[in-house]
Amino acid sequence: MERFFTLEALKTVPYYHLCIELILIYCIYWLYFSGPQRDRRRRPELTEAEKQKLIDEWEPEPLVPIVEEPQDRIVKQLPGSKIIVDGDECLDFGSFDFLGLNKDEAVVQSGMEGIKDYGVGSCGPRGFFGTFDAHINLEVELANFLGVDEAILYSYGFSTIASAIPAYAKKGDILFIDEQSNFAIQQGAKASRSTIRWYRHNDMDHLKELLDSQAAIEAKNPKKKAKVTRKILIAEGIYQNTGSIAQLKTMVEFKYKYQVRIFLDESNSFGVLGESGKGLTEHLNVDVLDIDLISAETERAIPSIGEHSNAFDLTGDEISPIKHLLLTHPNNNENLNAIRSLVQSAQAQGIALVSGEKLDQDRTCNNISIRLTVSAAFSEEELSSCVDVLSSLIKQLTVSKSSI
Amino acid sequence: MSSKIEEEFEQPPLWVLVVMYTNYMALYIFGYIADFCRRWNIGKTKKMAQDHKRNKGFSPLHDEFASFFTRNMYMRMRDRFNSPIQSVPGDTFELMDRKSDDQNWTFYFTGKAKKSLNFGSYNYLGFAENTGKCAETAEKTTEEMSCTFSSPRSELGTSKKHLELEEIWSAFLGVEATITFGMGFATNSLNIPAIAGPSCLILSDELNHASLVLGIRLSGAKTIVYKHNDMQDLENKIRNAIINGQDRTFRPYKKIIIVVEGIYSMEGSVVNLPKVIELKKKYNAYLYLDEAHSIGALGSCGRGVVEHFDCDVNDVDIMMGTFTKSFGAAGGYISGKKNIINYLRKTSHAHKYACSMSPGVCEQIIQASGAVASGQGKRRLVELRENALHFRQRLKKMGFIVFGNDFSPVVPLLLYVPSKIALFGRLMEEAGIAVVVVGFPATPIESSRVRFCLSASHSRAQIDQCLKEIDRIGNILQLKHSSQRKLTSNKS
Ligand SMILES: Cc1ncc(COP(=O)(O)O)c(C=O)c1O
Repeated sequence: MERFFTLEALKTVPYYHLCIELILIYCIYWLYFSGPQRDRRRRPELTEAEKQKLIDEWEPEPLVPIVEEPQDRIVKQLPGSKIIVDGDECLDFGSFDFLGLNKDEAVVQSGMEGIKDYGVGSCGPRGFFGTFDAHINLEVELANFLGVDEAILYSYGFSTIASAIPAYAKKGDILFIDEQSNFAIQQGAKASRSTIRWYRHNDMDHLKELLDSQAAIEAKNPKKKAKVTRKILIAEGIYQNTGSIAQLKTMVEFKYKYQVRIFLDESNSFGVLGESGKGLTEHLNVDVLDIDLISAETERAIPSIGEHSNAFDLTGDEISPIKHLLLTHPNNNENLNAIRSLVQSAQAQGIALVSGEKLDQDRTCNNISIRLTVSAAFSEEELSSCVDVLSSLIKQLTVSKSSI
Repeated sequence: MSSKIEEEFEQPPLWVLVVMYTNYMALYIFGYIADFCRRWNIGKTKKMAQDHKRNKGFSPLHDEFASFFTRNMYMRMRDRFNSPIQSVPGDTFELMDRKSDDQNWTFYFTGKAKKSLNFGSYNYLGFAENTGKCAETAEKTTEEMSCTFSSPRSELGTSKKHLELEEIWSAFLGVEATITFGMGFATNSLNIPAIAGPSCLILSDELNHASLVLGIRLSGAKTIVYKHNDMQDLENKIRNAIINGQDRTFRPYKKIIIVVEGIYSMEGSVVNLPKVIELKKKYNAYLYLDEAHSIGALGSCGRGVVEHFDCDVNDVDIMMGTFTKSFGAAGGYISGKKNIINYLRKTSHAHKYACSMSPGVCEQIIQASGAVASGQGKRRLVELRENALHFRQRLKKMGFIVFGNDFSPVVPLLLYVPSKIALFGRLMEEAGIAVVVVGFPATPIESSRVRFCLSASHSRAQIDQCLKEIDRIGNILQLKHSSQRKLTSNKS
């Protein structure tokens, strides 16, 4: 053994062998040091004067582009299902007040009592004396109502799911998300830096395909799978962007087959679906304990209307309180203006609608639609008047079929 | 009085650091022993949090170190956080008494409550009140306009109240326009992505609040972090960024935005605004100023750090802030040039997708900012200033290491050793004083601290009572590490 570590050893190896090794060592040296050097040749050291010149020459873009002033509609709430929008008295088919609780006497009273007891602000985050007994009581009540272990309150609807996702999902995890998910889910997924696999809207076959391909990847590398990669399936109870209902039963089946967790955003279905308003799980008879996380924004209610026309597809499941009149023609400026003017004329006729316009950063910005939300406060007549107004307006509407 | 930008960050003596690391080591070792016992069901050690039985075989929800830390360190002092109260968080509040029979894994309430002095809430100007003009008008507005509009601002969530608030606020700050949102955190995290995007550069202070960090991350811009309030470091980094351009492509950045806070709430330090503005002008960068803690707390009329340094508001491109702290309300605002605000009305995520501010909250802000502008409000400002200065100087005299700026209403006192965090909090609570103690991960691992938030509603007697207790407990826990005390006492 010792011989290998002494100079003796060198003498015994053949001469050509040493030559080849020296050449190899040189190659390694060359590869290692030449790379950055070539780079340096491209970005040579600048002199101070050159640096100063670069700095002087640098011109930023304006912070924001010049835009015209957008006009938000000014709303005043009236008792019942009416609101005044920019001076027109309208039926409210635009806000998310599904149960019509906004103007409920008891709700408003308890809001006022809250101020009497605690003042307006909490003056601190939950961790530092911003937790009140009222918070705790509500959390316990919610958890009992839903039949889950625990509930947590957030102070801002949008932030709820958007911060719940990155709380669990981290870099390297895999999220399976419906393509038509709302913007809060998209932002939460982005904040988590996880890998995102989008499946086609409510398409369980596509979801299965994606889960299968993930399973195949994991089968190749079983160690990694068990240790680190969390897989989470994110869906909405009722999709805000389309009004359809998630196929929760199939998802729960997939959950155990592929070991994915399910996060369900029930913002539009909590208080709306199910016998007692517990949401989609109750509606579809799914055990809540099979869902890993449920989040919800506000409270809403049931009835439904329908209207078909050649220019629009009506989307939204029968039972869902959100309907979208989805333009079947491409999203261009002309059509956008057509939609806007439709919303305007409906308002003049006493129906307040919302055009489902999205921000450019939203994945779903390509479908433009008119969103109708139905509230429990509506009477039969009010609903049918809405249908009448809409159908006459849609008949007048001309949509351009060309895409820009 | 010291100059406005003077800031203190005294280093502790070496032996304190040695004790601190030994303490961490002990916690770590005992953590492992406890985990071992849990694993083999030895003793009464509480089981770790467990996934639902049905989820057997799923990959764990939390990574190993984070849950080791939660189980073995956080759990030991969990009673110090999220303590519920059952009254207005004014100068005093009713702290609910809770107990745990299973080493802080679950709590139950005894039904009793203890009246405590409140040195933990960000109630700088004392507007956390349930009586008086603010609360009454807020109540009336709620009655008239209900609790919410259930709709985003850009759809059917805008009312006259919202517009009134925005107008009043623009006048208060002396800017062209304002846009308001229902939550301060979301104001940052949902608006920075509307302003910055890839191929922009954001220079961010290392101690910036989580909401700013999240917003910057969501924007996709290149981020460079500079040392806390270190203007030399900031300048070097801007220079290098302009010279080198973007990573990989070397193209020049489209725009450079400097993101700073007015008062850093963990450090009690105040941003060196004149210098930041100077740099911003020199290098053509834009400035985003988060005044969450400084608005209402600094400046002779409560207009924040800009007024404090006598700077020009027009030099700050984006004035952001929250109503949660000084104004006893909720929500946040962004103020600035008209075009910037118009652009945000078009592109802000929060304006488009999140429900609008509650009308009662709008009213509270309108009333509170009106009060600040009046004589009564000026008195609150002066009281806050005097309380904060008195408190800070007494602590220094006693020999504690205190961080930050003399003008800050937040006063952090350094504890260093992790096991003193919980003990300090508990002893203070026994003495009837509620304080906020923080350790890793909210602060760097070697600077655990207790943080006092002064308020205009504290009376001198209350402050002196608090100081007396701190002095007593500081002696018990041996916290008086400052070397300055020895210097001054030698001199005198
Ligand atoms: C600097 C800073 N920005 C934003 C926020 C968030 O404000 P809010 O509590 O209103 O969500 C805070 C809160 O602590 C803060 O310190």
